[in-house]
Amino acid sequence: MVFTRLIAAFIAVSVLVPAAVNARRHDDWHKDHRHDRDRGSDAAAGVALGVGLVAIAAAVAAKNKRKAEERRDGYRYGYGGSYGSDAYSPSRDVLCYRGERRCFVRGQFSYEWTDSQFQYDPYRRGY
Amino acid sequence: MRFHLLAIAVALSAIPPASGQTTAPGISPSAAINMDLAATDAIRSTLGADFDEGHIAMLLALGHQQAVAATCPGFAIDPRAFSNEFDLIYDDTQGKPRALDASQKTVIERKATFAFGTAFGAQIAIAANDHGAFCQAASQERTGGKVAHLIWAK
Repeated sequence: MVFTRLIAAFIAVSVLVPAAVNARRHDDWHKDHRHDRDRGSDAAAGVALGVGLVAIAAAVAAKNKRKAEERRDGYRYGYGGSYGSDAYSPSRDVLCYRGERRCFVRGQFSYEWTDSQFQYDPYRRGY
Repeated sequence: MRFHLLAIAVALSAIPPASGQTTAPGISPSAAINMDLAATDAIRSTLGADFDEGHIAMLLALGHQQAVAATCPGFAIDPRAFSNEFDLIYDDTQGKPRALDASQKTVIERKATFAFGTAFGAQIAIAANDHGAFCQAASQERTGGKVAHLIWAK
């Protein structure tokens, strides 16, 4: 962020300086035409430098925006990323997750395996 | 003799138990399983200490079966069976009625209804990942006869 602000300040200076040069050039036109030619080339160089810096600043801003979006997407779509470390397979095609006390057969929830692996009620009170 | 017993005990303790389970580290769950586990975590944390694991499992099961009945052909809910299951929220871990005053009863009912609705909605979303497999798995569980306390109409 600081880097971007520095670039923006530098661009502002580089754009304003040629503008000041242009203003003075207009006043000096009748005084020294040859001198004006030199200042004209300086102004062109300043504008080119300004345009270049604007392009650099735009690229940096775009990169920062992209990074922020990637970070946000990581938060937004990262749900469930922590699951799987406590998974085990009691049988073929069966996966159970200890932390959540859930079992799945070929990716689908299974009452049978969930109940057999995580018997939650020693009194078997009816569910 | 005492030494032999000690040696046998040490040897037996070194043998891993034959549980038939294999760990599956590094397995990245599918999107559907991720959704299920995330919803389960959310429901469990919402219910808090007012509900035990039996209540949680029951409410999750009701939500799943309701989603099956809502989206899969050939399934319907038996209202009486649904009530019999849902009303277990009023029981303790020994199957006896909990001592609840009116405000506690209201809190229990609201939390349970919220958990059931969350599970129902989550399972509808999970079914959308692979609706055919979702319904097929439910059919196999119903016809398998190994699962008690299903609330689907027969």
